[in-house]
Amino acid sequence: MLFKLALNNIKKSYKDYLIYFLTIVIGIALFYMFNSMESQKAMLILDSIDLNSIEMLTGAMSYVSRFLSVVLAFLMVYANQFLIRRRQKELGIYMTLGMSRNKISFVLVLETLIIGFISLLIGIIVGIIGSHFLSIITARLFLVDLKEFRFIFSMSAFIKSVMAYGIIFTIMIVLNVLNIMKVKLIDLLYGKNRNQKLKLKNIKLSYVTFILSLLILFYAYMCITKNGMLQINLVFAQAIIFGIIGTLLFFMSLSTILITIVKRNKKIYYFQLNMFSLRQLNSKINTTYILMSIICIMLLIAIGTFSTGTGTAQAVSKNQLDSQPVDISLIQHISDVKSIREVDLPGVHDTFLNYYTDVKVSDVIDENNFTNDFNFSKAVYTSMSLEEFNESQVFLSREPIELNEDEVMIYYNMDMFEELYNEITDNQISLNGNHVTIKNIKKLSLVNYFNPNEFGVIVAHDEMLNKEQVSGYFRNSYLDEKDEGGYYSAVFDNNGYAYSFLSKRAIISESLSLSILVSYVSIYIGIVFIMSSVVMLALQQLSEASDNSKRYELLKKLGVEESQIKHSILVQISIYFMLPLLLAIVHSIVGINVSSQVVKIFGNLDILNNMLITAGFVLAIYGSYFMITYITIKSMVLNNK
Amino acid sequence: MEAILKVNDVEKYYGYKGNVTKAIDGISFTVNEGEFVGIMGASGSGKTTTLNCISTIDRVTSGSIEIKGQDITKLKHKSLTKFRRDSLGFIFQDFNLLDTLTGFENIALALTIHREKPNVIDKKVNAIAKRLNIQDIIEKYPYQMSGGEKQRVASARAMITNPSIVLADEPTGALDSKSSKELLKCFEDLNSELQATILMVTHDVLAASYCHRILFIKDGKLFNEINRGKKTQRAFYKDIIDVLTLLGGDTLDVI
Repeated sequence: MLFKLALNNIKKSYKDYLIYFLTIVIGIALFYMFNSMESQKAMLILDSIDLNSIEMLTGAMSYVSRFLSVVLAFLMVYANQFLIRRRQKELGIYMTLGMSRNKISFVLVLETLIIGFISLLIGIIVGIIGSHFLSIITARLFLVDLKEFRFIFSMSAFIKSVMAYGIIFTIMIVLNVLNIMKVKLIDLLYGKNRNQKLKLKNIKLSYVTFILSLLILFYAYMCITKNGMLQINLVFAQAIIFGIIGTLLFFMSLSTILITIVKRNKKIYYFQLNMFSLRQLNSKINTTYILMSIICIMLLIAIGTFSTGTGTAQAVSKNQLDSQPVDISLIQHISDVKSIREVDLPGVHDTFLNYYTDVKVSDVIDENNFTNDFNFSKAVYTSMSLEEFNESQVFLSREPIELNEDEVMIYYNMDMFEELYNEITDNQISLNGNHVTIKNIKKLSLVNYFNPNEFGVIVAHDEMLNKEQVSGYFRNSYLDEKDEGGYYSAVFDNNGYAYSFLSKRAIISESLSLSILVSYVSIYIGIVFIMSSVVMLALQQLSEASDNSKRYELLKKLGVEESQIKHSILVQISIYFMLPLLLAIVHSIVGINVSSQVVKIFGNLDILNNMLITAGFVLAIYGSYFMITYITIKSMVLNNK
Repeated sequence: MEAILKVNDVEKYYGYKGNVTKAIDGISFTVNEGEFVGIMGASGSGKTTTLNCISTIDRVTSGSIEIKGQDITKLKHKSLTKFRRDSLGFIFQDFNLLDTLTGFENIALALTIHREKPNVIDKKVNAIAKRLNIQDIIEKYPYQMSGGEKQRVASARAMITNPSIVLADEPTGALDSKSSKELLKCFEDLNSELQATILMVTHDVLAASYCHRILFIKDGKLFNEINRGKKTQRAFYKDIIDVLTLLGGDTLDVI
């Protein structure tokens, strides 16, 4: 009997449950997807070397997952509390009919269990489908072939999902039961008397607050732009704190400003229900600006991590995969020729040396062109003989170059120097006492690298070089096709000599997993934060709607057409959903601009593309919750006959 | 004088076959243009149901209701909304002002729903506010007003669109006697100066004594009808009490 009651309750209020249900399903699906990472490796062509990276990925993912499931748990408990609050009256009626608190709790427990079971099932199915798509996207993004397409079910991810959500549902059940046990019947029947007094806003004060908020935000933008993301200091803290204060003040004053501006234009203000819609908004925002600010900041975090995260991943992977010149490079940073350690390597090879010079970066590039984060102006160029350079070029199957007596060339491979080296061709510099002209500047790499890290090597004729001061010994090798070559990375030998082997395969595999890690973590965090903020918005709107239905009822009595009421609801919800998003977008444009300076170190970032991907994701999640909120509110308002 | 409202043999039944409650059982009456008519009766006598049927919030079971010659019981959903908007003005017991809007905006809302031209709205609202003597409180929000002020704002909202008939459901029900008197004075003024046609349902004998004519309803039927004619308000008050006594002891408690 009680089971039937629970089932009927769910059927009856499925519209109320929709948002709740969707949230749980997406939460579980995400949880499963990102925890099933380990099983997905089976679909990718990644061999034993790369398994280490995948293990690292899974490990890191489980930490992120734990943090995010706490966020999701809060969200679900919040949504659940909202639902219970909406059904207070129904529960009160059960109680007046003589149903004991125990039985009511039992019905609620049953309901939660049924909902939980269904959503877990659907969530995991969506998760399994989603993880397949994730594998395909992974393969696409990072240029790995899919071995074969097959059905993968990750038992460990399944168990983890069931466990995590089991705990969350238990918490919800306990809270619900506690709630029922201590609540007073009169509160259930009549609800809490929420007679919110509308604050009358002083218009002048609002203007001042609004302008102040804009100034503060502008100051915060200035701080972050000047300081950059990497230096965490007082200025950085200022940017964050003033950003938050500015956001709060902005939402606090915005609606009053909006209404006074629109009021001036009688044609808009007096158009059908516009006046009503705006006033509704005004009354809500006056009391919910804190929620709006929190949502705005959460969206900022989501958009920020999402776009720079995927950006970093792309920049990293694109650079690594493009242009590793040889199979293995041996690099030794030394100060004199005698300390070169010969290492036995199979295959054909080519060696060359670099020498210190007396040329600083500031001699070539104007110091003011550097930002605080990456100031290279004090760095000293190394040099290389033209002869060895050309030999090396030929070894790498590239064209040799020619230089006149008093000419030099500079090669580099860091993306951020591309702009800085603009227009310095034909400049005169002094190289170890010789006046020379920079004939040209080329972006190329002679050795393998993890990140492009060469800001410049001057290639010059032998007689201009300071051969006493050796800075590095380099050896490139091509391996035989059969030769696996082993997996080398930086090694320190007993005598403290530093030398590193950079094998093409190791670099590709490592950078691949790094970029997968970075982008997955950022996508995961991004989605969870967007979802959390939009769910909070949607629930807030829904709880307002039950208070508002009286107002709509009155409008209907006064002869307002349904289409006008629908329009008014749509206007209100859209403004409500758009405001935090718009401010978050402005914030993140500034933020992404700054953080792309950081990403530039790894390589150029395709900002537009990333923005589009981010926008797509945000709109998809935002849009679906927006639609559901609109439909639910519409039916709540219009079906009340 | 032209008849604004014609109620012809209206019946309203609730419930299913075999278990029918007759809320209205064949009521007929007419309200002429510029009349101020009251409907009185005990709780459950059918007076509110009658008003709901006239205001198209409820549908009749049989019979017809004509307003300005148009049979509103035959109207479809869409044209009902339009009719309600264009021809009726409502005044409710609990004011039903929108608490998020100022008094001014509450009144203006009735005009914007009407798709009135924006540039005349301010003028019209100010004119009616002056007539109802609420120009000083009009910029306040409803929660800052007294009950009487709220009801006068509500009346202004009902009157501003020049409806064919204003339907008032227990307008003094939530007011103290002083505010009641002020409000009823306003009704009298609007009725005599603007020729507004008012149909008011009330329990309150004092409120009823301001009307020109009173219909008494008992058990869903028209029980009696008295005209004020040239009588003073005091004399009319006595007449009303006489009828109520006739109606039965159960209504005496409302006096």
